[in-house]
Amino acid sequence: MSGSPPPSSSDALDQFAKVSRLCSLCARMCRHACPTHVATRSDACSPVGRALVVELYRGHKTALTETPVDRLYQCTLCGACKAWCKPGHELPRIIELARERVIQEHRAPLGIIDLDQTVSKHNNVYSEPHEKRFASLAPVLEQQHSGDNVIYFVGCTTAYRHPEIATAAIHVLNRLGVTAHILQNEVCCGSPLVRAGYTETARTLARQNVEAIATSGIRTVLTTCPGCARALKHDYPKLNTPLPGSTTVFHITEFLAKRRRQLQRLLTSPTTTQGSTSTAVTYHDPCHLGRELGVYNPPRQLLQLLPGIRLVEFQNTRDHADCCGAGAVLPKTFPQLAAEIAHRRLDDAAQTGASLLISSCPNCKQHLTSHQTPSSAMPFLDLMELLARALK
Amino acid sequence: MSSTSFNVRRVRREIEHLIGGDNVSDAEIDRVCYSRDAWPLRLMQLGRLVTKPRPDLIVWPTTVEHIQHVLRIANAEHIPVTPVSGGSGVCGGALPTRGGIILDLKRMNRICGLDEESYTVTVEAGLLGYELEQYLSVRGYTTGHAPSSIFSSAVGGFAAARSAGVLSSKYGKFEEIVVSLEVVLPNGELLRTKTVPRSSMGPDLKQLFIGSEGTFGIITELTLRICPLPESTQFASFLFPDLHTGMEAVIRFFRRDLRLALIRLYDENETRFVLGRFKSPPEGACVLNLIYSATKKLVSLERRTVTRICEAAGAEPLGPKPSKHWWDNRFDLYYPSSINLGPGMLYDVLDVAASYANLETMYWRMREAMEKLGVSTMSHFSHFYPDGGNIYVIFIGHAGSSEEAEAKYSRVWKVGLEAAHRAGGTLSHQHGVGLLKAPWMPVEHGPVGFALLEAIKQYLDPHNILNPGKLGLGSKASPSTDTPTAQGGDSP
Repeated sequence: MSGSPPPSSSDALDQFAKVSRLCSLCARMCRHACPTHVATRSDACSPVGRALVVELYRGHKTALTETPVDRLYQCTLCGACKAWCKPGHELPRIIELARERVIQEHRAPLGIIDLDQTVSKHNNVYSEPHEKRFASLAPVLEQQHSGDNVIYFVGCTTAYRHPEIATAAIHVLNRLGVTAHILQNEVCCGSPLVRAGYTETARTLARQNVEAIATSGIRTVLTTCPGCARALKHDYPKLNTPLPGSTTVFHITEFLAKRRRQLQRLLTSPTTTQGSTSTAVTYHDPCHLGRELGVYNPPRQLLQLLPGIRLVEFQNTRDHADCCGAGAVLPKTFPQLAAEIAHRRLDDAAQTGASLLISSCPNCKQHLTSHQTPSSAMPFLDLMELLARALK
Repeated sequence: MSSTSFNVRRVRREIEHLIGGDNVSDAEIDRVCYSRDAWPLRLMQLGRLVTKPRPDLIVWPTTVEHIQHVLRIANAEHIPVTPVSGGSGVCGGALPTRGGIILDLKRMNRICGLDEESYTVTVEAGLLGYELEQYLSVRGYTTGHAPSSIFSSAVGGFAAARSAGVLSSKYGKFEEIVVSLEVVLPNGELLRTKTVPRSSMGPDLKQLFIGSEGTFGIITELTLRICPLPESTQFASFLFPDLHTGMEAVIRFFRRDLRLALIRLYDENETRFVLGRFKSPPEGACVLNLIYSATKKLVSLERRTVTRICEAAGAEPLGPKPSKHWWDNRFDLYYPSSINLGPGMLYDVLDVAASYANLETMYWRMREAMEKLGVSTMSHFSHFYPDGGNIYVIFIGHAGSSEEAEAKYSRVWKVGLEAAHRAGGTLSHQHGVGLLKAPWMPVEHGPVGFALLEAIKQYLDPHNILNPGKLGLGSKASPSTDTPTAQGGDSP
């Protein structure tokens, strides 16, 4: 195997050398939970396989050529490996750092070769016009009355692909007497770039968002996107672009769960469908929200408030929930693999016997609904949409 | 290291044509990923970034026909084929020591049928044990096969390596759980044994393949016995003044016809480790961990009988906590750590078994021989039978360098197995042979027995393509090139 120039001693990867070594030698205690391994059943496409790529690279036994790079990017960074790891090894972080090296060496996979330029140019991952970011939200924003002020960080996928989630979220907040302020100069949170290894571009975006939040004077930030919440809370400090000191970031389910009593008073209408007395729903835990931010109970607490709604859990749920396949730019790099993972999750949803699939992430919604087939076409709603319907 | 030469590109194209390009890889990084199983010696080497032995090709069959195609090509070209499913073996049985093709069965993971009238389930060989138990448990069943490797080991491997799970005292060893098998022979022919509870129509052919570690054929489908999930599971621990007293109590369990789900008797060294958080045991004391798992009525009866036997033997009841703690944390030692895989460290587990008449003697002789080489040991006895049981002798030590650690590792194994053999024990109870114990096969079976196995191998696989060198079979046909990764198998 050909070698590559040795990484500098200060390389962040070296700080995790002990972990990547141990992961590469593991008896594969988490392999069964890795969504990409479950889809491919290849030991190379597995947490241990990726740790081995990192170790071989660190030991100058492999260069970051096409196949090793593919193996590193065939990962959704969902964190399922970490959830099954008794010592709690941070393999996803190691893979992120290895991807940084890939980008530094200009070896990005084809699907994301210009991701940083796209986001830099358009301020979003979809190449949509920046000025239309909040176009569909104008009517609902105009109807707001004054109340407690929060920033609602909308995020690219909600803004451009699923504005119905934003509309619902703003409606729910308004009913609670909360006014949602949009940052007109909001840009992509940078999460997809951090996950893909484009750290520098992510840092530039983070600076813009931090400045916008600082200027607003509001110190409570809500998101409907778990990826945005994770970026603001956890990635920005790592990028040396922390939010103003007193700022608190919540995923909206956390914020609303704290106001359960108030919500309960507003909930009067049953949300059942087709005249049945109760609707069985199943809840898909988004990876960023669950395993990364530890938010498992708030969405369930909100579901429990809803009259006529009965929660039926997935077989793999909470910290062992399976990824939807949308994580860490996989749909861009390996769309077929991402689709395969989505189909499995949809099949698992059907197995629950529920008639409605609920989640709290626009990316999960985007990915899962785009891969529904006639046999797995269970209606999908974001939890905000379900709440908004119940509050009408 | 490949000891055979074949045109990889041409063979790859041929296989791709038959089974599809997505099911074949010759990418170097993928080949390195298949250069290992869970054999500690191989992991010690991989820790030094030794990336051999590598296969030339990896093939993921999805049907039996795919395997037949590949074996016919391999036979015609004399290409070694190493079958692997979970890849969790600890003896090097899935290492492609002579290059060739790795046949990864994990894409053959279908559940073919659940017979709730006969209480059997039929599955393909690449299904992981964990996946099977997930499927069964939501339907109220279990196979009861619960090895510590259950997250990473597959059903085909359970049979190929003659596996035993930690609850085997109740549910049986895997050879007892298997009802029938489908096997692809080295020439591509398909063998199916009948799905019947038992037969006396001559020898039981399926047992020829159970434990053959892929040297006689490739197991592709299995029908397994299942049981209802237990109505009640309870835990108990007792502290005995010494090992012998504990052993005598266990034997009395069997004399009273008790079949507990778990019986684990720890020696004084492992007792200190097991009881660490609960109690500081007196010198020489040995803890017995038990699990009762049955109907509520039976569990109650088992508890009463066991408690009477243990208390009559002078054991101190410790309540359920030590045993429950072990159960809840039983996978911990399976994760790699700097203790067992740090540079210069060496560790492994010898899994031997003997009749009660020899069991304690074997333990003391092994311990003495191994500790003389400067390693620490701790042991437990489990997988008990009416006539004997097995011992897990865990050793851990260090040496000046990783290379020295690997050499010392081999010496420790050698003296440990010699002592076990001299004491009348079998040299493997459940971990199998692989490369590690391959040189010991003639010792275990004797010249006549081993010659018989060699003759069977020669008949079934005249070109010695299937997992060559494993179990020590076929080495005459192809002089061993396995040495670099077979250091644990120093000649006895």
